[in-house]
Amino acid sequence: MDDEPEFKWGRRRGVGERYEDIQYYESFTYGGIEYSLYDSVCFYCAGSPETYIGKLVKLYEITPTHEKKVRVVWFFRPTEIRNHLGDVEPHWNELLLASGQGNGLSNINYAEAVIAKCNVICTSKDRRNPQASEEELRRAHYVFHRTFNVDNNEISDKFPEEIGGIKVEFFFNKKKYQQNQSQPSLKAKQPSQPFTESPRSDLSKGVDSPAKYPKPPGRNDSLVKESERGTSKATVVERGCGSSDTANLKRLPVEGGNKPGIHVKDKSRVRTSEMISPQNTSDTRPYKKKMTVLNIKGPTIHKGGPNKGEDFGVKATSKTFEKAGTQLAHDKSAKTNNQVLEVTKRPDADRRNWFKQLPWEEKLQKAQEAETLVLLENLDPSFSSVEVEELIWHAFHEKVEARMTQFISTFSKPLYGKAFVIFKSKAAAQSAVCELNSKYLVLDDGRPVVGRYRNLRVSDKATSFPGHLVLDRFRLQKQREEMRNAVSTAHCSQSNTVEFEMAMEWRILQEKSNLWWKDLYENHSKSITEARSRLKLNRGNFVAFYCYFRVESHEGGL
Amino acid sequence: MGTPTKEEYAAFEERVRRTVYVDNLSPLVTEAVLRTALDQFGTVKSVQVIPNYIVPGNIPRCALVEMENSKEAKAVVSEITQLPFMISGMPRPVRARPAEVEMFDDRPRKPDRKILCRWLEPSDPDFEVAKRLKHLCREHSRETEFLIKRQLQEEEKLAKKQADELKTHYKKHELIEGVMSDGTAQRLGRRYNLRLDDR
Repeated sequence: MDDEPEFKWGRRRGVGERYEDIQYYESFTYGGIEYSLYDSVCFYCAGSPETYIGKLVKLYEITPTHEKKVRVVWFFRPTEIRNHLGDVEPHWNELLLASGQGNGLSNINYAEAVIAKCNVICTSKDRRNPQASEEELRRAHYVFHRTFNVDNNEISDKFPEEIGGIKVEFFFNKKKYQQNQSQPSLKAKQPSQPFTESPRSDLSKGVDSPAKYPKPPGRNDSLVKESERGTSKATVVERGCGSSDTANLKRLPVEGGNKPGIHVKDKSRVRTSEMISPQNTSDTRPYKKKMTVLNIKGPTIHKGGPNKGEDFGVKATSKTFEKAGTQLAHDKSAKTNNQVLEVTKRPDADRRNWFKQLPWEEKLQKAQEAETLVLLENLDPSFSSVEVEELIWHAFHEKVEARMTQFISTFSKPLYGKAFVIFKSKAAAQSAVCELNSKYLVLDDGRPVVGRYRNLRVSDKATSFPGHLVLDRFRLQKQREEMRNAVSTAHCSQSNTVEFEMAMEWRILQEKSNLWWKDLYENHSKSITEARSRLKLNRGNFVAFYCYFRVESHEGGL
Repeated sequence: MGTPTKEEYAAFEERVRRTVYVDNLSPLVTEAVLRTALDQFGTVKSVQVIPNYIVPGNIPRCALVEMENSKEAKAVVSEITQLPFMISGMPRPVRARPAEVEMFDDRPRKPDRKILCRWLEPSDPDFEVAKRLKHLCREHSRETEFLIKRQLQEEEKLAKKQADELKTHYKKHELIEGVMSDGTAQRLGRRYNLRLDDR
């Protein structure tokens, strides 16, 4: 607190068009480092060994409150989006630039949350991109040449015209003259060994550190040494990118002088957390974290979705929800449940907002890969998906995403309701299945819920269909026609044709099948009723979780 | 109280009433094909081909088709039921029937429904019964699967039989056509003094 790093705005850029209270700037100096517009910077992220990297696209101050904000368009580390990588094999220091419209693209953060500059070079062959020299590449901490679309999770090597409303040119490498502009200021601040002056020595270090030891075990030592030697800021900075522990060290050269490294580290960390997050533990984290979590787990339920930065009310609530959630897991009293079930409604709202883009089918696939997919059977067929989610919440205190399966293939009403449930984690899914097997969850009509892993049917692309006859001779020609003209393929059969005769045979088979299904289901229901009649179910033991729902159904009504 | 839910549910029930469940569809049938096929009975508002995640094998596809109103939906069902209606192939007709609430996976909760549940510990007297019920559930689902398999077999059988029939018909047809076109029939007619032209 006492030695709060100095913050200074650079050149003004103009006042906000819509809001006069916003003053835009071209750069700012914080902790002795000058950050300019379109610089790539690292953000500290609590609880994660990796920093977040983004590009500053707006710097501004809200004049009345003196809040200093930056707008950041994110880069994704490949690990953050590993589920969407497919067969893309990223380079070890590759990042992916966010693109598209949705959440996760950009955020507004406190300017003080920036911890370091980061040298990110674009290696795209795009003609709009000024190609980087070999030396620049060697000096780069990270490179990028692909974009990750936050809307459809697609990775592409094409760059759109604009990203987050900013011309894409600003995301590419800076034109030479721009670079020259920014470097003198560096020199002034860091006279010791700026890389512009001695490219060789800097080069060797630059390559040395990030390349060989992304997370070296003994990095603290080397760091301290380096800082004592008064190494150029860049070298220390990119250490910061490697791990959160060292992240705060970036101010070493500035205020630390040659104090022992550890000492400085602690100090600066305290300050960071105090400075950046009066409202929250970390400003950068919640935003991007959400995106990250989503990407990894797909359907995870994360609340507090609205992401357009400045609204702290939203942030604060999201935090409380999270807290409430954890508390809840341990607390079974109805009161807290009540409170939390309000939270359970959230996923729904969230889903509507931006999970929609991930179709259920994909989610299922992903969940199956992650082994978080459980099939619940023996539910009341009239349950709705939301009710299943609530049931799970009630029984396991797990927030899940569930959907009843639609019944198919038979004309008769199934006796058993089934639902696919996607748990947040493999462990949660395992423990739920385990619990369902060791003690039974019984619904009020006496149905014990069955849960098991069930693999999705592998859909093979069948092109032939029993009962659709095609003469070999016409096959090829005919199918092409069908594709072109759908109407010609649908018709009612006339009674004086062979086709009609055959169709009648099918009708007979269909009727027969109706009968045998009816038969089977009758048998089933008989045996079920018989078994159920033996249940003595003590009604008093049932827990209704209806009362909590009403609260949220109001909330979710509109 | 609970009015929003009630309204929502009423709207949903209305949607159910104007929706038709169609099955026995070929896997080649896409949303667009189905839409065009049923557009002749009214206005198709939406089509959802029901995905099959569970039932193994290539069971026929089924779909939910939402029409403009319940009257149209009824018309679709009765048309398709009265005459064999074929989409994307013949001679296997599609089937249709009015949709039901349980067919929609996005159905809203029933208003004012109470769901009760409890955990049964192994020491509970009901535990054994519950165990039996669980067992039944497994058994029944296996039986269902078996029946589906059998049904598929039956369908294959019929399809094969019909294919053979068709082939024979077609062979006959080709034979006759060949005989007619290369003049053999004419020659034979003359030889046996028979008139072959229909006039």
